[in-house]
Amino acid sequence: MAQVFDRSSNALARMSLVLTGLIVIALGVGLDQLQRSPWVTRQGQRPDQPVPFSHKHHVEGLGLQCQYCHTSVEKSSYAGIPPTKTCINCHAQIWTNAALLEPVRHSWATGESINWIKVHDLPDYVYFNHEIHVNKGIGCASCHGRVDEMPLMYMQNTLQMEWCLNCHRNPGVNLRPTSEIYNMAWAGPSEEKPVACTSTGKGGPTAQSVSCKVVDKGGPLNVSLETTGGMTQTFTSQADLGRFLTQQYHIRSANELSSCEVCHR
Amino acid sequence: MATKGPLHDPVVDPMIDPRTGEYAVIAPGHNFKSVTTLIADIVLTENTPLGWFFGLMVGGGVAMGVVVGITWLFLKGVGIWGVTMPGAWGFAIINFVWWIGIGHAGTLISAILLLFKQTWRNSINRFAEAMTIFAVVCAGTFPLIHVGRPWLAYWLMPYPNTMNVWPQFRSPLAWDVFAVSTYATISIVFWYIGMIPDFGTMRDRAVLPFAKYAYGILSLGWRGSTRHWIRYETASLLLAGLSTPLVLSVHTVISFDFAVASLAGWHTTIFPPYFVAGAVYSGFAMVLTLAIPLRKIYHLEDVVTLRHLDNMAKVMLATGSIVGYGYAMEVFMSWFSASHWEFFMMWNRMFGPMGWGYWMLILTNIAIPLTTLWSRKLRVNVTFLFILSLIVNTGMWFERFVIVVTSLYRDYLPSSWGTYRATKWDYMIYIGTMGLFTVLFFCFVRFLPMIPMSELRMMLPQTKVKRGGSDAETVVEETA
Repeated sequence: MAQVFDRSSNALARMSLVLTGLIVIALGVGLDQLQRSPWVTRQGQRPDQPVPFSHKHHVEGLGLQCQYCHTSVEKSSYAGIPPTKTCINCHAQIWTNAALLEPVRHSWATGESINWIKVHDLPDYVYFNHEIHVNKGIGCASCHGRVDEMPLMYMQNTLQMEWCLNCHRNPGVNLRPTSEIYNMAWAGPSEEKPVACTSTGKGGPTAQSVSCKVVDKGGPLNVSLETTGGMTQTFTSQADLGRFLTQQYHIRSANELSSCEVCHR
Repeated sequence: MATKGPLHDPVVDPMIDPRTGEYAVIAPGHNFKSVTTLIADIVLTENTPLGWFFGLMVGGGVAMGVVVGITWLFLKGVGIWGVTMPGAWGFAIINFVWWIGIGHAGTLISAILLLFKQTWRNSINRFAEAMTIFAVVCAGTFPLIHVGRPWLAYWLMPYPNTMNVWPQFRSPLAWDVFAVSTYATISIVFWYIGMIPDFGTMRDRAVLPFAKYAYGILSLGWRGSTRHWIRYETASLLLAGLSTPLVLSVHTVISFDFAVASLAGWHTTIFPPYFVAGAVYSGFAMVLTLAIPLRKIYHLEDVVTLRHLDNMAKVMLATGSIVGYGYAMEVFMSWFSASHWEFFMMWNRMFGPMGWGYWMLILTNIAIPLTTLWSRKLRVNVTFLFILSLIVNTGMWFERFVIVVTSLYRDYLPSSWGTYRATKWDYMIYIGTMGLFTVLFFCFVRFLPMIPMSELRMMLPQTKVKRGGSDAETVVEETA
């Protein structure tokens, strides 16, 4: 009787074994990478806005502070997109004929809202609160990236749950003095630029209970801090500062901060 | 034929072993070739019986119930079922436990009886394992579809995800996922390994090139060398040793779905062993339901003899008695606990609005089988056994119905008492899974050797080593 399979089948059989293993591994790794890829998270994608608003121009170029437009960020869960009125404050006089600004003028004339496209769009079962983060020492740039360098808005971070939880479980790495919240270029304390902090004794659960100043090595060593006689501590690393601020800001434990009801009500 | 003739007259009935007076496990007069032909020719025939096509068609038609039912279910939501509050578990869970239970006899036959060196298992082991796998397929459907958002069922698997969320490992429903998926995997592996020598036989007997290739690939180059066989037997024993605790734990885990809850009627420590006994009970009933028509239609009376039916009926009697003990203990403990809720639960189970379910259960699971199976005459009565196996399968369905529904619909708070009424979609999906099972089983019967030829050959008289005889070195030794 003739052979059913010729000798080449040996190689095929071996290869299929190896390939099956490789395919399974590749699938696992591929799916794992895919769920974090910009293709899924839309990181770095710049959607076509009705007006190509440039944060780079308004923040870096003109020196506007974030709260000029996003007024409610310290007081509300929602940071707010400025109304047309905010644009018109200046653009009633500046670039009044620019074609780019036609939708703004149209909105102002008719009362129709400008349909900005939300770049940081969390699902509605996530109850994100801006106010608590800003008041507990998380700067804008920690989550939104260097918005002052973005000609068109895009998402710097994934906004995935693991990203949120990484910080909620270890907030210290991102904490900064409340005076530096809107400083897009804040880089954390270092040997060259230590941070001096002291308790103001004002108490309460907000970050106002601590006063900090960045000390430039070249500048005066005696920094003037608002104090009530507490010891002034100087920090040269983010780890030490984070530990101090976690305590001063009364930031809750990782267990409490990663409990579902913190974000999902 | 085997069924005819006076029962204990070895002179008249050739199926009776003259030495022991028992029915033979394999009819006398068979040799290697005859058993191989008997089984391989069912698959390698050129004349597929018309009945097979008919059965497949009927099964396929009924299986459409699953397709239509699940499609509508996914479109409209679980509200198309009769589940409500407080009875949030209904047919889906009842059928899940029922199907999983049916599967357990297959593993019992292939694993536990192998450990006990019960050679009579050899004739029924292959199709019992197939029954296990197809029953697990039907069962596995239900946990996936009875969730409201089935497309998120993969969240039950522990995999690293962007949510940093893992399953709750304290929930028996999460254990179900691991239990059933492990059970399905091990059953398929055990089943497949068992078939490898038979695939070799099929490859060598096949005439069509396609069949040669197909069985050739499936047999993985099996040559039947001594090394192959030693490893094969070791692997089989190891898998049997692994499957035995598995089969006990799988249905235990499924019983935990109930026993872990604090509901009167569910929170019972007797559930794990009693569920397993019930599983084996219903499983053997299903093996009988399948074996009796199979041996008749495919003329397998020589290898699936009355001895097998008798033995299976005995196992049913044993496990049925354990189940009966379980029912008695539940009643006793409801009284003995002095718990108002337990007492009410049992009273409601017996005499409440769904009392008929309980008495159906007692009738079909206890009264009929446990009174009749003691009789050897009835145990070898093929018609009776077939009807009884259907009765027991009905009874075991009612057992799960009683446990799930009658505990739920009237519990601690009278203000949350309700009722449960299954809808046509409940019935459609349940009956549909029977069609699915039928289709799978018909395909199995047609394309795979439904009885392990290699194991049957080992049981033939010519394999027995004659100690000290001159031909001791030439005969094949039974290694199992």
